[in-house]
Amino acid sequence: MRVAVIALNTFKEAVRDRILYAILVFALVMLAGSTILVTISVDGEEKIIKDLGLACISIFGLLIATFLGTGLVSKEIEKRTLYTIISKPIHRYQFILGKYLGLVMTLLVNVGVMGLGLIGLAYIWEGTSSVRLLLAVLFIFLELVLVTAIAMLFSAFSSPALSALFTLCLFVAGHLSADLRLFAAQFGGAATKLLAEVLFFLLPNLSRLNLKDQTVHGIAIDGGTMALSVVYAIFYVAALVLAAMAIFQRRDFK
Amino acid sequence: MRKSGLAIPMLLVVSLLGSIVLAASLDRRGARATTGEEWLFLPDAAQLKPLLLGFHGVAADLLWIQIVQYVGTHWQTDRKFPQLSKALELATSLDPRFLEPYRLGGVYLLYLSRQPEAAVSLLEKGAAANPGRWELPHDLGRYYYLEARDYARALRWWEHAVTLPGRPDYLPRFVARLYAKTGHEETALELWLNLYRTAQNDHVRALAREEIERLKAVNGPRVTVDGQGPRRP
Repeated sequence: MRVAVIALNTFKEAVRDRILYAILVFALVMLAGSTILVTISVDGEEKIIKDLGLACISIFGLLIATFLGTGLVSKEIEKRTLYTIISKPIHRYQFILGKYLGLVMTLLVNVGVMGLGLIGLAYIWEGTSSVRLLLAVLFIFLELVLVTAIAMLFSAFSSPALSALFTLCLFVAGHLSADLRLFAAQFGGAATKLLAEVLFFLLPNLSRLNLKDQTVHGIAIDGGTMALSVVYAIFYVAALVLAAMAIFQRRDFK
Repeated sequence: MRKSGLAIPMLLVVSLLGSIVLAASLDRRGARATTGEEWLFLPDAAQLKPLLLGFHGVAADLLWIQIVQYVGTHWQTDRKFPQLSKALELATSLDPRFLEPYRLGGVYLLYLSRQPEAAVSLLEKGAAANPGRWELPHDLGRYYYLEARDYARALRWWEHAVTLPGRPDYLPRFVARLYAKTGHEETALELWLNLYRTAQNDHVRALAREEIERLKAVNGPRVTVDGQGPRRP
C-alpha cells in the first residue's frame, strides 16, 4: 500500500514536469516529420517510417528514462523531502520500489503515447495496423524499464550528472556486449576472451530486446526466444532494483 | 544603466544578422564545391554496424535517401557516380533485408553508372541475403536477358523466382518463352513496360520509356507506354 502511494506520487510529480512534455512533443513532431523525409526517398516508405518511428521512441524514451531515473534520489535530497519521508514509518526499500514503479508508470504513458502515434502513422500510410509494431514498441518499453533501473541504481549513490553518464555508458555497453564477445573470440587472447565472456554475461544484453529488424521486415519472431528475453529483462531489473535498495539502505543521510 | 540595457538587444541583432550573412556565404561556398565529393569517407559496414547500437536500419534508410539525392544531383550535372557502388554496398550491408537499394541501386549501377559487374554483384548479394524474395532473382534474370543476352542464366534466375511466393503472374510466361527460345523481343518489351509501370522514380521511368521506344522502332509499334501493354500480332 505504501509502495503504491509513493509510486502514484512519483508518477504525479513526473507528469507535472514540463521538460517531459517538451521531450514528448519533440518526439511526436519527429515522428510526424518522418513522413516529410520519405517523400524524398524512392520506394520503401513504409520501412523508413517504421524504422524512424521506432528509433524516435527508443531515443526519446532513453532520454526520458535517464532524465527521470537519475534524478530519483538527488531531487528528494535537494528538496529536502527525503528527510520527511525517511522519518516516517516506511522502509527504505519501500521508498525505492515505490519510486521505481512510479517512474515505470510515467515511462509507460510516454512510450504509449509515442507508440500510438507511430501505429496511427503506419495505419495512415499503409492502411493496415500491425501487431508486430506494437510488439516492437513493447520491447522498447521493456528495454527502457531496464535502463530506468540502471539509472536508479546509479542515482542511489551518485550525482545526477554522473548517474546519467554511467547509465548512457552502460546502455552503449549493453548493445555492444555481443559484438565485443565476437571480436574477442576472433582476435583476442585467452585472457581477453575470458574478460569478454564475463562482460557478456554481466552487462545487460540489450540487443536481445531489439525487435526493430524483425518488425520492419516482417520476419517471424520465435515465441520461445521472445518469452525468454522478457524473463531475462525481468530478472535483470529485479537484480538492479535490489542492488539499489541495498545501497540506499546503507546510505547515510545527514 | 540605460546604455547597457540597449547594448544587449543591439548585440543580439548584430549577432543574428552576422550569422545569417555567414550562413549565406557558406551556402554559396557549398554550391561551388566540386560535385562527387559528397562522401569523403564511407566507413566499413562491419566496423560501423556495432557502433550504431541497433539503429542500423535507420542508418541504412538515411543513407538510401542520400544515395537517391546523390544520383539525382549527378544525373542533372556531370552524370558521373564515383561513389555510388560503395554507398550501395554500405547501405545493403547495414540492412541486408532492405530491398530497394538492391533493386533500384542495381538499375542505377547498370544504366546510369554503367557498372554491370557491380550491379550483378549487388543483386546477387541481395538474392543471397533474401532467399525468400522473388524480386532479386527476377531482376538478375532481367539483367541477363536484356543486357548480357545470356538466356540460359536468365532462365535459371527466373525459374528460381517462379518458385518464390508473391512473384508476378507474367514470370511463368517468360520462363515458358525462354524454354521455347522464341519471342525474346516481346519479352523484352514486356519487361521494360513492367518496369515503366512500376517505377516510382522519374529517371527509371524515363529510361524504360526510352528502351520501349527503341524496341518499338526496331520491332514495330507492338507496344505502348500508356498502360495498354504489348499488343498481340
